[in-house]
Amino acid sequence: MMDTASMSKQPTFVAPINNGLLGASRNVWESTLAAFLLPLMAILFFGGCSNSVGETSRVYKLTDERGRTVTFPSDYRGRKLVVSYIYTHCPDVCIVTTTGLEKARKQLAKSDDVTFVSITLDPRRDDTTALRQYAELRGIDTKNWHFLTGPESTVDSLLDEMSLVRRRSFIEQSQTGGELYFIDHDDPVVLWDRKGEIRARFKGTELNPDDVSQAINELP
Amino acid sequence: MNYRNRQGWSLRLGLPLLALLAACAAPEQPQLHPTGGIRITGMWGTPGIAGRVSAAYGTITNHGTEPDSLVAISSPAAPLIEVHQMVEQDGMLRMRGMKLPVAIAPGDSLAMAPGGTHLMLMELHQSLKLGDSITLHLSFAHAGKQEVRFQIGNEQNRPQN
Ligand SMILES: [Cu+2]
Repeated sequence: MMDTASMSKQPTFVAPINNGLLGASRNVWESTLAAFLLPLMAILFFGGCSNSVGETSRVYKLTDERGRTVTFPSDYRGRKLVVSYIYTHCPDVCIVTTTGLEKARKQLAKSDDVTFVSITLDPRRDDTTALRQYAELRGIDTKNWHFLTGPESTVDSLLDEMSLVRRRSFIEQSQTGGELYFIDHDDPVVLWDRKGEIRARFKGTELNPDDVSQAINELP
Repeated sequence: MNYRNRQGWSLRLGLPLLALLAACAAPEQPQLHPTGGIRITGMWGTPGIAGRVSAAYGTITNHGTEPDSLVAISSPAAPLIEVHQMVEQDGMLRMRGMKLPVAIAPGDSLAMAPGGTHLMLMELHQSLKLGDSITLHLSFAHAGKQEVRFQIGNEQNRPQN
């Protein structure tokens, strides 16, 4: 699995290799290197950079709200998947999204082949316990709705790959002397089919539950 | 006398009369301060984890004839409460703090709803789950300190108070 470091170094890594390939003189070592690196570059470039919001070509080891290991997204292949992004210090936006999705879920004609996945935008503070409480306080049945977190670097590279814009902001001094921060973020909700193809996108805060449940119902 | 004037008359006479009646009928209710016409309605709050946050929504209307302003907010539920506004900027939803006092002109309202303005309860003393109740104290420059007690619910199933 690629880590964040190799992703962020990618631009400086790609440029000199391209020059080498286009150059007229080339020794054996260079050809070998090229033969090895070209496919790797292609994977990195097309897999990592050209994706639009919600697609992923890599897998991420995450943990759900019960502490179970989840390999995202491969563990969900074969199921309809509804992916959203939240964090438990989010007072308003994430709750509008979560509440809308819960309503959509209750309207589904058949719900046992659909999994809802909410990925944290704040892996630093959102541990398994926080995510479980988030679900429990809202009365969300987590049988087919998983709240995922993981090591900061893993979650961050997943969010980066999903092109999810976010920024830490609104930092307050907490009563206990610590730092209380919030995260500005985009609010996409993405529907994947059983093969992992993206079939629909919604804006979480403007989400119409009827549209979401209909889109899920219509998927084979 | 046209319709508008008649309505004006009835409003001018009716409101103080109503206020008097209300004051007589419910003397224990602190909501109607003699110098203020602040009314707080439809309050509800969202679930929140202890140590984390919860949002409260509702409408604060100034039914009086003088400008008023929200000057302070407190609650036994949380040590830190602010008025926040959600704004969309650079493709992200941002939360922006509104400084107190927040002025409410006569006839105007401060409407708080998901995706717009909210009262933000931070560092909750206890977790708040669906069906729980909390108390807020809202202090106004003219209408004084008002107490509201309301339920924790969700957007689709707003508790009535
Ligand atoms: Cu807020």
